[in-house]
Amino acid sequence: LRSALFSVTGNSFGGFILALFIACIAVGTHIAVRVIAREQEPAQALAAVLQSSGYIWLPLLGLLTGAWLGWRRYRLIFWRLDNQAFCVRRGYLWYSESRVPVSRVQHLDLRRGPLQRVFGLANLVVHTAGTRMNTVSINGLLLDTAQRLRDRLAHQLDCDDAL
Amino acid sequence: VKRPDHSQEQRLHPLSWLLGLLGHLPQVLLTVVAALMMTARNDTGPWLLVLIVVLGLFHAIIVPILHYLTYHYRIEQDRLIVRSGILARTRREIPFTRIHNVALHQNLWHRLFNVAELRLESAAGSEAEAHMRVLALEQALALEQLIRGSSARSAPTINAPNVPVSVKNSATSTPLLLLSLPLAEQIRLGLLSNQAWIGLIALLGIGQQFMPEKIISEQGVTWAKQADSFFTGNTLYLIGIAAGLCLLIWLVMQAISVLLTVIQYHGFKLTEIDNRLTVERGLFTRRRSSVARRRIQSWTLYEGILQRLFARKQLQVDIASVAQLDGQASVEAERDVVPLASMPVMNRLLQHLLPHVQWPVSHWQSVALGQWWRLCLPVIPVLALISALACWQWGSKGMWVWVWLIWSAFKAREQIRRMGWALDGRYLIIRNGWLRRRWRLIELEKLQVLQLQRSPLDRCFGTATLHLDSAGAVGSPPLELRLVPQARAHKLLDYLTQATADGQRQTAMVS
Repeated sequence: LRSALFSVTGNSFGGFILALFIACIAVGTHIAVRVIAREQEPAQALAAVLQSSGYIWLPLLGLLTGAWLGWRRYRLIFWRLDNQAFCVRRGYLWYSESRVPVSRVQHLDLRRGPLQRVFGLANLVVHTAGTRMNTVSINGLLLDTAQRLRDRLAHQLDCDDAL
Repeated sequence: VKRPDHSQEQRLHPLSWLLGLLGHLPQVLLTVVAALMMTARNDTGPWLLVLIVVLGLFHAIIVPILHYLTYHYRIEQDRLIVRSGILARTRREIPFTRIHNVALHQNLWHRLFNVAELRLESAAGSEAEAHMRVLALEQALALEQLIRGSSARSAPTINAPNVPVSVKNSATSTPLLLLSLPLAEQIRLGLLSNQAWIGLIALLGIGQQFMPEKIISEQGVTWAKQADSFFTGNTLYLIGIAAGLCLLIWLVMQAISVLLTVIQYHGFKLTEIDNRLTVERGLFTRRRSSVARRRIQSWTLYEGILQRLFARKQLQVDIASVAQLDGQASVEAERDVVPLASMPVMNRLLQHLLPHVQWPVSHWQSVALGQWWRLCLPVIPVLALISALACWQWGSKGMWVWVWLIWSAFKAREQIRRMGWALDGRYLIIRNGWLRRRWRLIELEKLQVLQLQRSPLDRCFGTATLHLDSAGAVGSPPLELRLVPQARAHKLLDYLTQATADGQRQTAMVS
């Protein structure tokens, strides 16, 4: 088995979702402020916010920040499979490195949300018999890679029980 | 379709429905009483009462009888087959080798009729594989013996398909008594436990539910008024009375704790047969639970403040079969293998139970000692809050709260001196705590997930935290190593991964 270090592909839509979220919060706060100050009715406020160009930069900023965060997150996730363990490494400020010895894998899930289907991605969840950290998941794998990875990990599941 | 052969099937004990009824009796009575009270208060007429009584009787009599009629089991060479279910029928096959814990339970009724309740637990979380209520005592013992014997036989060859049946009883050796608790030790254990307090709190909770709040508060106010009129003027008297009352309550609670503990731990015996550890205890309700030694996931040695006062330690084990519902450990699996033992006895026991470990450990690896101040960081926000409140109330005197930091720093220094780990062959030993000391021993093969984490602070000061995870560690504190210097943490992580994978490969080759 090869023990090369691969980079995970494509995972910046997390950033876009975050951006959308931030934008919604910004608009919502604006409306709430207006309504609480009894300047306008909610519907009026919404229309005003959508029309006024002054608040467009806020969602845009959110979008950019989110995209940047997503890009960063994607750059900082690595996985590795060698003949000892499956490793997932992520983060810089909050760094974590998880290792699941291959023989400890109990079962595997491949999950795909609608957005992930559009992008041709998948989420691989590795389950172990552990208590607190019983799942290790890696998001935004290329579908092909994820399937290959799943098959290889599943192949190594011998019938021996590791408990 | 070939019909399954039911000729060798066995049933539960014929009286099991009666015992089921007896077991349900308190609940049924309670429901009836509650219904009576409700009807008396609401004047809804007797029909509600009748309905409840009928339902209760159905639940208490018909269901156990149906359960008895539909519960069949059959013992095969290497497995137990259970057919059960009143409406939805299930057939479950339980290979003996997959059973992690065997628990035998006998309450007073059971003892009167010479029967026992048997629970077989596998690694699969929430409930027992088979819960046999109830078997004749001889049958239960025979089944227990069979499971023990078969797991002992197949221990070296974990997945061998054809386990020879001919050696059925030759493997059973004589039981080896490892520990028993004399009465004095039971009393000490009772003094250490806080069972009575837990019970009292539960009772208070129940009482609050049942008694309307108005009555409580009114009663409280009257009592307070009476006390006030009685004690006005002589505060010293009042303090004395209060202290005496507290002391009395404490004494009574301790006495109840001791009594409960003596009842529960009467005749405590830890024995070893065929590589299985068996714990047996109880005065009225006898319970016995036995676990194969290779199924024990990790060992925890604990010494709290009170334990240190008595020069005793406590040993707990984690088993994968401990139910993982709501983060609470199930009652049946016995976790306190050694509830209490003096240090020489405990050392001897550990040396016997874990022959591969050099115990007591002499070569502890220490963590980054200079980072002790980070252990008192969590207390600072709390102190800030308290001191802010105190300042608001009493002015600048509130700043005295920060004196607590001295104690906190002292504690942190002592703690960090005791934090450490040791690698001994196939075992990893972690110790921590100063007032409450813990030693965790875990076989490297039992590790499931390893994780290295670094927070921004860790990044600043070049340290890392190692989280280790094993199966069945539900009630026990997390297995973690904090404040390890970064390079050593990475090295340890690599070593542990390698050792875990290698150890597994070796066992796979054996089988």
